[in-house]
Amino acid sequence: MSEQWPSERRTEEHQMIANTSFKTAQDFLALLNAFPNSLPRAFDDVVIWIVEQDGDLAELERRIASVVDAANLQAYPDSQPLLMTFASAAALAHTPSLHTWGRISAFKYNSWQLAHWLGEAMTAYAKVNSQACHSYVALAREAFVGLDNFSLQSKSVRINEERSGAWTSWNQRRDKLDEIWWDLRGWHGFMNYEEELPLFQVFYELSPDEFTRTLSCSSNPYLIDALLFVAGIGAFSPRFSEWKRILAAAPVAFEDGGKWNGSVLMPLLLVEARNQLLQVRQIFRTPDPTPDELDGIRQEIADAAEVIAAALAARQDASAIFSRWTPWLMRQVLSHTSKNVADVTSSAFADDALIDAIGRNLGSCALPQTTPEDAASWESWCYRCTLSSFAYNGHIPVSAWEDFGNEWRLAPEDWADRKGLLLREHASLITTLNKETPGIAANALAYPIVQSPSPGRAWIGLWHDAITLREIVEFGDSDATPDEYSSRSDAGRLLLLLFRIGLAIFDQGAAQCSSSRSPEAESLVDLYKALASATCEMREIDSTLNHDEWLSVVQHLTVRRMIWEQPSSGESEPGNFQVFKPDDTPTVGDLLTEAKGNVIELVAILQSLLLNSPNVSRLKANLNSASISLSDIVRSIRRLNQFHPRKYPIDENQLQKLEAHC
Amino acid sequence: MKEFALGIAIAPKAERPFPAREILWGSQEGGQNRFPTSTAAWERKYSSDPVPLQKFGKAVADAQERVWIVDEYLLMPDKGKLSPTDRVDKILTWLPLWLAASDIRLLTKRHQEVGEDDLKKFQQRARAISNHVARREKECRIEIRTHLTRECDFIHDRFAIVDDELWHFGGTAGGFHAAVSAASRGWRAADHGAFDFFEEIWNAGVRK
Repeated sequence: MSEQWPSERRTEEHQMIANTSFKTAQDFLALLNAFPNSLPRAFDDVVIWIVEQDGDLAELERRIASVVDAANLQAYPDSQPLLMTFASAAALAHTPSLHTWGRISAFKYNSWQLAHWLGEAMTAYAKVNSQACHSYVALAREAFVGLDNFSLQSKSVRINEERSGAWTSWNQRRDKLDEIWWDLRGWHGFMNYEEELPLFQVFYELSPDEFTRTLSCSSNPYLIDALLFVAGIGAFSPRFSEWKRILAAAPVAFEDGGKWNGSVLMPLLLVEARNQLLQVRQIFRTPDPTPDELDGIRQEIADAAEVIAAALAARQDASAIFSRWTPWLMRQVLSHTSKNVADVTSSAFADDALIDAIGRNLGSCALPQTTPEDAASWESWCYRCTLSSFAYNGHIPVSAWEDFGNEWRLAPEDWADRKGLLLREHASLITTLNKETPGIAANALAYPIVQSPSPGRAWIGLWHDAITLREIVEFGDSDATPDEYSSRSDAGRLLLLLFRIGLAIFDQGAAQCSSSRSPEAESLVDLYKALASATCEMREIDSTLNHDEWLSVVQHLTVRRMIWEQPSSGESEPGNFQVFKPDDTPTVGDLLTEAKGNVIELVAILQSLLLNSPNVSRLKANLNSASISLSDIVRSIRRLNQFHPRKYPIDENQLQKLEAHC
Repeated sequence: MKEFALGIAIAPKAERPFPAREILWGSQEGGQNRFPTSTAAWERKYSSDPVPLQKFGKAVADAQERVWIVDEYLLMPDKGKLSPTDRVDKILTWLPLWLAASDIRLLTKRHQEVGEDDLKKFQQRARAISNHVARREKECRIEIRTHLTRECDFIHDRFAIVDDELWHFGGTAGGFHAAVSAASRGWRAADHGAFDFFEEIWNAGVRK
């Protein structure tokens, strides 16, 4: 990618249509050429009048009209508003004070031209009067202080209320960093500081480094977010070069270990980078993208992610930045399914690409192993997932998992205490987001365990030690909160996540297992037995809304038991990893026998088996071993469906496939 | 992100038969497909007890899995109409003891007029439903959250998801509104992203 945002490049590719309503600095310089002997004394008088006298826009217009008449410029297009704006720019240079700014603002309030041309007029004035540069910068700095401490007020009561209201609510927030990551949602953006933008536009043009230093002094994200607009960060005309320039000059926001020091500029720049990456899919958005267009999106996202990550990696504090930003990116990924993450048009694809690019650019960055104390609860495990992802891709060594394991080991009294609350808070986001089994989060959390010497035994130990959680699911919380259902449901959800981590350990181990006679396979079979036994127990004791999840888990287990069994013939089928020997228990037949009592559940298991194994003869053999007649099952479910179609729904398409094997 | 392991899918859940799409206008007879006459509209406007949509009540009572409702005024009648207690009692008639669904969630906003005793009735009903059948696999859970306008101040319309069906309401969910107002039903919730949207706003109030 060239040093441009994708949206920036796309805008340049489209032909710009000149709008003569907006004037440029060149228009003002051209006007000066109409005064070969420099501006007349009458113009200077107008400037002095603006600075020193009271009077409204009508009077300013009258005074400018006389300058126009004296110079015979009546025929010059827009001569009057051009001169009026230029005189305002000159007044600001002559006496750069908030008083002068207040006078000009009052005129601007009633003049569209003055409001929209002032910045360009100031730029032009600074070109012909070098002293003006210093004046404008000094004035902008003074205005910034006034905006930051609310002494510089707008004429609009509503705008003043919105500015101060946002600041008040910001100071009351505990989740300030989250609010920035959410792109300050609920805020109307730069429009609340629109009046001052011309001044800051000139400030940035004249002294970008000073501009960055000035903004860095404030902890008001709304003010900074609005003013960054003039640098090409945010809405309308984003510029990568300016983002990169300000990024390089921005002060440290995340200290060693990742602690946020409250500086808002860096997080705002990170949000801008992500927004630009997310816009790629919008640029390409067509109702039905062709494969070539999809490849184009994929490439644009990968390229943009790479330059963002490289620019961040160039900073001294890169590791601290990565340690606080990547959990947020991971949070976004975890709120999607694996299918979404692979879809180039989804936001999860872009977030995932950014995490990958950061991983590739880690270089010698030493990432902290845990989140700092000021981090929100959700960050801890999202960060663990990020570290796992980096380790899985070979960018960093695998993290230790023992601390994570210890979080699960609760004594009964811990549940309502700090340790139990912390476990619930850390898991809250993932247990809510993770809808797949095992799912991305469980796989990422499992990865460090899989890399340990005995992953199966490690998980069996974790499950065994989670006895307090199982007791709460079964018997409730003896120190019950008013809503004791919540305790049981929360504990059940935690156990479901722990189960999914176990299943992920099994899946990742199985993918590396080449022979059912290997010690690894034996360990996996032990893990599988523990998973099957855990499922039986949870189905018995969890009567909260998690109950359905435990039913579907049986399908996952049965499918795995079948596809990872070495065929009795000894022939290896494609994709058939060899974990189980045919007589390892529970067999598929055992699992089907267990499910015999519930025809709905049994049909669901059979349909899942059929979906994953084209080998119907094995399925039939398993049915025989469980003494199950497929035709009886199909007949039963059809009868139930006729009796109550909403209670016993069937998927006709899937059922017919099953019926075909009767 | 590279996949950590082989992705294994299980068979999708069978969908329940789906009702035809229709529009229902509030009426004192419990709802109708045609606009009301102006006479009927006046009568309903000044009735102290605007009758809700019978078909919605029946759909809720027949639900097999879930009833999720989003409406900031679900529990708060208009001024001059019945009390919040009456409103809660009416909603409870949609949740009979033999209700099969276990996942009932009402997302609304806090109203001082709705007392704790009114809200407790939902928990009492949930317990009664759970105890009504001897070997019910899942307990009935009726949960009310009141963060709708506090955490998600961007929702205008009201909607409900009953099992897999999305209902959209022009007025109060359930059709309690006295003025001329309609609901439409028969939208497949999954096709319109209703589950994800609901889950997001539902969790917004508690997520750390």
